[in-house]
Amino acid sequence: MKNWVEELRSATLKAIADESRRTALRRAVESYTSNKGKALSRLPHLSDLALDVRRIKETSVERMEDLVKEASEAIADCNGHAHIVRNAQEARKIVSEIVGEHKLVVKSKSLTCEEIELREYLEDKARCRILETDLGEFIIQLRGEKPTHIINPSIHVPREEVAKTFSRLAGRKISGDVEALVSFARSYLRDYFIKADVGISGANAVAAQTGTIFVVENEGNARFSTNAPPVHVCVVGFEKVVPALNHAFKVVEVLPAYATGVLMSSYVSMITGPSKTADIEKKLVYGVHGPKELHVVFLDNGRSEMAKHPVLKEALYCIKCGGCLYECPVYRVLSGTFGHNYFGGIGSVWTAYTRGFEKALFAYMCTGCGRCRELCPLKIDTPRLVEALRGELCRLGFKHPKATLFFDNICLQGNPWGEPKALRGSLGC
Amino acid sequence: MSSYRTPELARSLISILKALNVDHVMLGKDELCCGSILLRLGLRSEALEVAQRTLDELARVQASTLVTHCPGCLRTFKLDYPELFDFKLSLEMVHSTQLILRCLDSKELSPVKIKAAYLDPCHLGRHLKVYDEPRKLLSLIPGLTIIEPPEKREASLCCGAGGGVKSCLEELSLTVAKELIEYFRLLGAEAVVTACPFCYYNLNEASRGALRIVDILQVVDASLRGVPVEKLG
Ligand code: SF4
Repeated sequence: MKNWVEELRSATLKAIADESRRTALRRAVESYTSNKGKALSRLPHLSDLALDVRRIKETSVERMEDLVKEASEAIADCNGHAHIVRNAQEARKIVSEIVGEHKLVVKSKSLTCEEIELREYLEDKARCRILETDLGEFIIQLRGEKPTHIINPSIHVPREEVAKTFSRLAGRKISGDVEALVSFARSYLRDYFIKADVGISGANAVAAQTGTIFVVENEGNARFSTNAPPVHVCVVGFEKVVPALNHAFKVVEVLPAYATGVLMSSYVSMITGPSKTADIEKKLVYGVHGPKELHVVFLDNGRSEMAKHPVLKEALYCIKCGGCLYECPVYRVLSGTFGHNYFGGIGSVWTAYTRGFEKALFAYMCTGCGRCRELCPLKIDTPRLVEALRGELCRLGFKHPKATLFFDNICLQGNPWGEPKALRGSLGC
Repeated sequence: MSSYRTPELARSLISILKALNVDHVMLGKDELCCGSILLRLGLRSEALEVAQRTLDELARVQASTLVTHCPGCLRTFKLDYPELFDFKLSLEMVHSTQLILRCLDSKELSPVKIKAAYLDPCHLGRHLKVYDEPRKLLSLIPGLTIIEPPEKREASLCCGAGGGVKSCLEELSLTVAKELIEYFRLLGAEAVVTACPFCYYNLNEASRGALRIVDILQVVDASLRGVPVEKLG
């Protein structure tokens, strides 16, 4: 078995050699940066609002546990079911119990579901058929790959490759024209939304006071998956809970421009309890056109631990817009290799707490350039977090051997490379 | 960094300081690495040990100002050590470009005919917020045309050498640098001027002649001495 240092290096080399990945990334980055630029110039108030969101996050993270309890009670009050779970295993178990076996599930994109590997679990253990309905997720599900960006999971796949994948599924040739590809996905997935037994989603924010979950998207697939099936399960991390609706609205206002370069996302679904009516004789009945049952699973999975760390807790403020990834010079070269479910510098902290520190060694790929901090709407100081994380990694035995070597050399010769001391004095002055 | 990997930059700095009659001392062979690389790689207590020794050295030479060309060293002394270890250095700490600008007075400057893009080094720009002095300095050099890339100042791109990546994942550093060089080439720059030995070293290694990489010290030195940059030796 290779040691982690070699593994890190060979993963890097492999990613660097992948030209098609770089082509796709270049196209995506170009269109993202130009769209974001335009959106921000039309929404000049957004940078101040984002700092407001930061303050909301700071105070919410301080009382995360209480807010989750408050949200759970509010959800129960409107006949929804709230579940508070501590780790990935508990989360998978509870969702699996709600879903049942051999069910058809439509799923919208959710980093949190990805974090607990929910799809794989439901497929393997409960033998369910799960359809990813976000276009990017759909593409990589068909290709048997892993997401490489938190907002645009198939960012590494160029259109030519998508055409090949869809043609295989259709059993006929689908052209590489982007519109044709989208239209194929639409017609393929349409029936499944109606037939599905359960819809699974994540959430971008939760207002504790009213128990309202906010789901932001552009495609309309999340709205479909959370609305058409009789049961909706939402898996959401503790850090997404803010005190009230007005706070959640702010999160939702800041997110779209930084996430996809639009002024506002096409759809924001606000869900407070299951679908209901009292139109016939004022008798309250649940499940009219929307789901009869709503389950919200609040996931801790390391978040409370993260909140205890004096430096690393800042990562919990992240609204997962993914902007820093497009803007990261290292991500532009490595894409999905620079991370594990969560990507880039900020993603290394998230990976450490949600998946284990030994999975977060990609933190050593960060150059600490700080571009992400300047371009992050919340000004999250990712380079500082990465350095603190590396400190933790060193304590846990993942000290980079170069670091040890440098220290020894500095002690002996005064410089990290172990060059003779005398050289330094030889420049003359 | 400069002493060992880019001695030409160290030589240029000394030559400039002499030309400007700046009273200076070098720590010479007693000089110690600033410890930045240790901090970046997570070795805090080791960095503290190194820092303590450098502070003693600095106290010994009784200077009023600490000047470094490496923005990483400057950041480490000026921002990181005070924040992490509550160190207060009583001397003033400046970047070479800041000191030169201050001491340049009305020194005669010869033309340096290059059309170059200025790259804000990450440590100097984003971390230390020194954006203007290097630009001001470059604007004083006759014959020099500076192109401002769209991604500049707070949004400037990274050369790929920071955070210990140059040492731990060399190929990654070089690939990031190559992307940057391509970016500058497409802008129509004939050269890139940087103000950091790490950028200078990494971009030179990655460029292999695709684009000229010079450091601001070389430009100033050449201008003060009236010789072309490539003749500086
Ligand atoms: S760190 Fe900032 S830019 Fe990056 S995903 Fe989080 S909120 Fe967005």
